[in-house]
Amino acid sequence: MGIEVQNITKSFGSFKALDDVSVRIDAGELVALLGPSGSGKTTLLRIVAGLETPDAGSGPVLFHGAQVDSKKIGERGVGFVFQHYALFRHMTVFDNIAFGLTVKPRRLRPSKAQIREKVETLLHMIQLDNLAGRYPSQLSGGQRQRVALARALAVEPQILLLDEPFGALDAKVRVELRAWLRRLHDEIHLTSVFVTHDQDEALELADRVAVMNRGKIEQFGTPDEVFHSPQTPFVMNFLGQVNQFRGRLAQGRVSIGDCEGAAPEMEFDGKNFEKCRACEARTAATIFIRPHDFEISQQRREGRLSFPATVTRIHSAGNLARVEMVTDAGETLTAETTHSERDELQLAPGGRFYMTPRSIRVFADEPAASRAEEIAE
Amino acid sequence: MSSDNRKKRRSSSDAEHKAHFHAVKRATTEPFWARALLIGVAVVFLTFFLLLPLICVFYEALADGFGGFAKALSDKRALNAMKMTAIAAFFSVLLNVIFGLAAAWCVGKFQFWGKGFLISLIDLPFAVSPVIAGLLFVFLLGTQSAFGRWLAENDVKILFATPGVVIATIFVTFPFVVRELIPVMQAQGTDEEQAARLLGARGWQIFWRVTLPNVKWALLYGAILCNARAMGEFGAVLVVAGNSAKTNTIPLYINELHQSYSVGAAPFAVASLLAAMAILTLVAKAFLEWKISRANEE
Repeated sequence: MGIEVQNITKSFGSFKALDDVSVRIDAGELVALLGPSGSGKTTLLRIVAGLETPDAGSGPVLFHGAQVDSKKIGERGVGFVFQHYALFRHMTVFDNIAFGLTVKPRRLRPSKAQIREKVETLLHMIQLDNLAGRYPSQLSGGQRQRVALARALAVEPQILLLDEPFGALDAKVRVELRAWLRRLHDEIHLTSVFVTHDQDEALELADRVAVMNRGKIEQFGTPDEVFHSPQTPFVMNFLGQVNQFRGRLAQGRVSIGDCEGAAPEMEFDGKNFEKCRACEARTAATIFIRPHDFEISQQRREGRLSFPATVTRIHSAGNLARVEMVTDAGETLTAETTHSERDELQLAPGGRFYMTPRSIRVFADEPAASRAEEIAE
Repeated sequence: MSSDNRKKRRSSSDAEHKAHFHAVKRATTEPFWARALLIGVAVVFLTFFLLLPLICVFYEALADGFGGFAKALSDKRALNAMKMTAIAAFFSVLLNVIFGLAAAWCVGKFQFWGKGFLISLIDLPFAVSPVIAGLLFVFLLGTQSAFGRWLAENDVKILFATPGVVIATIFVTFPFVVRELIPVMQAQGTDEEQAARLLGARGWQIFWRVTLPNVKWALLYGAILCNARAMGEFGAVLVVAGNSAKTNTIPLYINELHQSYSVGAAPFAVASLLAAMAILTLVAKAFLEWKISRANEE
């Protein structure tokens, strides 16, 4: 076990930044804490680092099975990379990286030659061998971020924590640095956690993603799991583009407006529909459909959930054509289709087509527990 | 990026900046007569209130020639006044630097209850007339108070002696260093200190290696202002120093020379010392302002 936190709560005044959060991160794993601002992801990271103290009554923080709550920040063995780098502005790149080694108590401090060797190895690793004598203000954002990483790694931490590591960089550098960080992680296998609000970053870089909202972890799983089988409406909405409809669920069939039918593939409250007894109940629900999960046709698909919509706009730049439509009830939706299919169907603004979802996800408005009682009656 | 490239980039952006500036200037500039009037008023004001008095001090100081100037400055009482001023300035700069760092660290890097009140308290010496400040110490340390009587019984001489002069000077120069440091420390935040702590640095190491180097120019700036004020202080020191030649500082000595109707260059010669200090202070201040603005750019 790499990092484990149990039942952590943290309030700032009346604002609950974290609400009874528990999470276990395996050794050697690279985990993303993903969520909108204010979801508590940075607070959780700072509590793991020891920079914030959880509220009284919270559970322990463990690194590799050992409790670290009572340890001083500097003794936890945490490498921390700040969003705005927090490099020492009056020190050169070399001195920045060497800092953690030079402040060690005399009996633990490596010799000058050892420090020099270590720093040079790290400079080579971050590909900045020639910039040892520069000051942080003379570096680009991406270079500063790499120096911050080398500085954190110099003290050979047990775990590495990164707070929005790419947040302040421009798009191109961000993508490059992301790939570089993934390669680096595969080389050194240090248990690492990074915070981000960018879903692409989280899904591409992390082994597992914890999606956070309002101080809670909504779902913790591999990028594949959180993207393809979201367990909550929030995760569904937050990851990827999605169309959202109000509808009803009755006798295993779904209705949106006055169109009713069954979808070939359906997940209910994050579970496979067939295995779910509760979905037999009548209930109002939110129905999510991904843009690529629509089948577009000129004729209604009988027996299935299939409703008409009118094309308002087509964006053709990209691998897929993105079609913006409006339903008869006035709801807007976005569908994605291949360019060849677009030509075949002669999709054009003003055209009227039938939309038949291949796969939908339904989340009932009422919590599952109260619905179960309803069935019992 | 090579330094050449950096220069090039900077100069091209300078050119753009200038072009932009001229365009804005045409649209926002006042007519000629308004500019001439405003600048004229400023120049006349500066000449009468600052430049002429300054010239006058140096002119009068040398009225008896260099011999008289040197004689006035090498007078025993003059030398004693210089010594007193140096002592007062030295201790107030030293103690205010220590206090200023501690207080600015508190206010700039931590959130706590009563912070606004503490900042107001720090500004108190700016609001209180120096004479009142001096009187406060006379009441506190004089035989009117229990503390003063206790001091007298134990034969500790503070009032009307060197320590009194130092204490009064510290009081009036109190805000200078803190006021310079607080905004700098607030702007820099605590990220670097947190980074240092996470890397295993202990309290003093963080202070000496991270916090202090980051505020060194602002600290020097505050110390120079503090020094200038300490050397020039009159009111507060007058009240606590009493009428003794032994505790005269330069401003007190100048006043004494002036009051005793001594004609000639002596008061001006001594005053020119303070004027020269003031000019030096201004130069140092300008240099540091430039340094600080450059450090902030980075």
